Amino acid sequence: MADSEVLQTRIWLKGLFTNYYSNMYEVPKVAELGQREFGFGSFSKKIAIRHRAFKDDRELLGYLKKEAPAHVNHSTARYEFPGEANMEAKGRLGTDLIFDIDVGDLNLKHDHEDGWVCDECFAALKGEARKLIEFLTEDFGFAEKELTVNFSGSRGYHVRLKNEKVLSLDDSARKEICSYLSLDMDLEELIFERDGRIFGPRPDQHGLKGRIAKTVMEKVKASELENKERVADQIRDGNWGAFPKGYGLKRIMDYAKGAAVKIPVDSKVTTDLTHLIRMTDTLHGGSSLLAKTVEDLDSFNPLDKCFVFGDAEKDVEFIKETPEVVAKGQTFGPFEKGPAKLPTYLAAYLGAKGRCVVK
Amino acid sequence: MPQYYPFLNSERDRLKSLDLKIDDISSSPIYSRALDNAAQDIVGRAEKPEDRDFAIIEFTLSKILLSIIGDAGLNEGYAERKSDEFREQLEKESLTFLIKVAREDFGMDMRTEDSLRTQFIDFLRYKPEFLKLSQMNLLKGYVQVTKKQLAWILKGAIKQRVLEAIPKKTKFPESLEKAAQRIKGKAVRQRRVRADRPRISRLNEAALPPCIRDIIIALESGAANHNAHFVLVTFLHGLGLDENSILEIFRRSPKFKEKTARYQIRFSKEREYTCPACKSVKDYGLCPADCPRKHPISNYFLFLKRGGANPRAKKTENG
Repeated sequence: MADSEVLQTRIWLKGLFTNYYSNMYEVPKVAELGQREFGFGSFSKKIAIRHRAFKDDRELLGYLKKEAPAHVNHSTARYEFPGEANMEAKGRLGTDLIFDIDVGDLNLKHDHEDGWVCDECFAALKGEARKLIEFLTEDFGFAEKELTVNFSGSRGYHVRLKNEKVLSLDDSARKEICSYLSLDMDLEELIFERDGRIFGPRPDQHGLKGRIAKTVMEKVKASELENKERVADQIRDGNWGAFPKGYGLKRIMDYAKGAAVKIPVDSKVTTDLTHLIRMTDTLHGGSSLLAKTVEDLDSFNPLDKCFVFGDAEKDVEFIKETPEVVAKGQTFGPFEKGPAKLPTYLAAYLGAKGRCVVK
Repeated sequence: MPQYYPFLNSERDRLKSLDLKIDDISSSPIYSRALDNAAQDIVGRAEKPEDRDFAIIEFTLSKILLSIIGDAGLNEGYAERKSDEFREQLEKESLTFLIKVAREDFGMDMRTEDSLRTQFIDFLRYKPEFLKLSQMNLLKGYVQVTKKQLAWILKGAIKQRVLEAIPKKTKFPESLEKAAQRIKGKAVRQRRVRADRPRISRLNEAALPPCIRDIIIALESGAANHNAHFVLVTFLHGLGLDENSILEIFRRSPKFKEKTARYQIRFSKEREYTCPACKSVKDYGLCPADCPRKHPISNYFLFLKRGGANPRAKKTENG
């Protein structure tokens, strides 16, 4: 494959993006837009320009129409002077609380290369986003209406909180929240030995303790463990010593850690107070998909809802073997290396992902 | 002895109502003792204020002196120490008083219906390092806390308030400038020596370095020698544990005599003995395993941060 073909594909994608933004009449909503730093990327670099600021929607829309960037990001922080190049001089006023769940952090073992995202990957991501929402509402007490979920445009979901109180949380407070969600903790204080007996959390307790006890009880009941009913019953009373012979304190802790619900949020996104995050409802240069706001997570499928380009046929050349793709309800592929015809939206998706080049 | 809380909103209002001018305070002999006390308070040697008005005047003067000195480390050390003093006082107050302070003075969102709970954002904002959200009972945004934990959370809030209340540097009366200069060198030196390590209220035994764990085991069997006692008491003082907490650990010894133990703990504190470094502990024959850092106290905080003891140390203990 010649570099010129890749370049030609990028030029083609740039044309599609330009057309998309030139037909945009309303810029996607960004809270406190005038206090955000913006960063833009090209098809070869996610953030090529940063420290840009816009006084209002109109100015930003003008920029998008003119430049049609491959990536549009804004700061999770609000600044007094967002356009200042020196971070200190920006005068940070607060930072939104945002969670990022990326398929790369799920440790999925599907039958495809790491960079690919299959239907099952998308389904697993959705499951994690649901769990995250449950934690945020049940444990942290946020109202569902305070949460906005959006597809990241490629391999994950972003969950954003509309809550003024969280703006002032520092990075260590945010890290604690991430540790809570991802169960990044030592269980020694929860499960411990005293006077030859092993004690642990009970399912009727709130917070992580109760969650751990409940999930371990479920795992025990579904297991082949000897006396599993008795083990589960004892856990109900906080007695964790009924596991069969061979289960010492450490093994029980490992068992609990393996069973407990944990959400693999990318803590860098949440704790970095000056992070640039993809703007919702803009195009992702690595997939050509829209980073769409999700109205109903249950029915949401990125490869159904996030294509924005038409379905005119486009000649492409696959430069990598590519698994089957179900897009807009239709199955395509799998593809061998070589020529093929694809609808434009799919050619843009696979072209942006580097699976094919346009002819 | 009455306790004063000069950081409270009511005290701030009271100071305003006294209608004192900074020039009056700095030039009047009536307040010279308050100025001396405020200066001494910065280096941790102040006497208790005479009355409620003096408490708030001294507290304010200390912050002005800190502003003149302009040393961020000194500000931090002062705020840490004062907030910890107030925490100790608050622990002796009623729970109702603590809740009132939390709500009315720091705007904290508290729930008291079925158990004592604080909103998780306030908890995260003010909590001490050793309290972890993941270890707490969290439901619908509220963290269940004990009265003692609430006192620690208030300590964080007080510390923040003290730091925020240190005025921006401006021109102050000459007498204050002079007082600040008098204590500046001394205070900065002392701060460097003390390094203001965070104090703890409760010992996390899982985070103990192996030498201290072995000393406690020996103490429990009555086999700890004089050097072991010395290392243990200086270590516990170094962590900031108070006399009674240390006494509880010594009570585990079958040879425990309260009067003797209390005397030894006080003696060590008065003489300002510091915990020996690992090299000396090794020389005493009390070091069973290598730790990552060179001082038992540093190792304790390292293991605490990691959430438990050094695995290598455990291995040694288990043989």
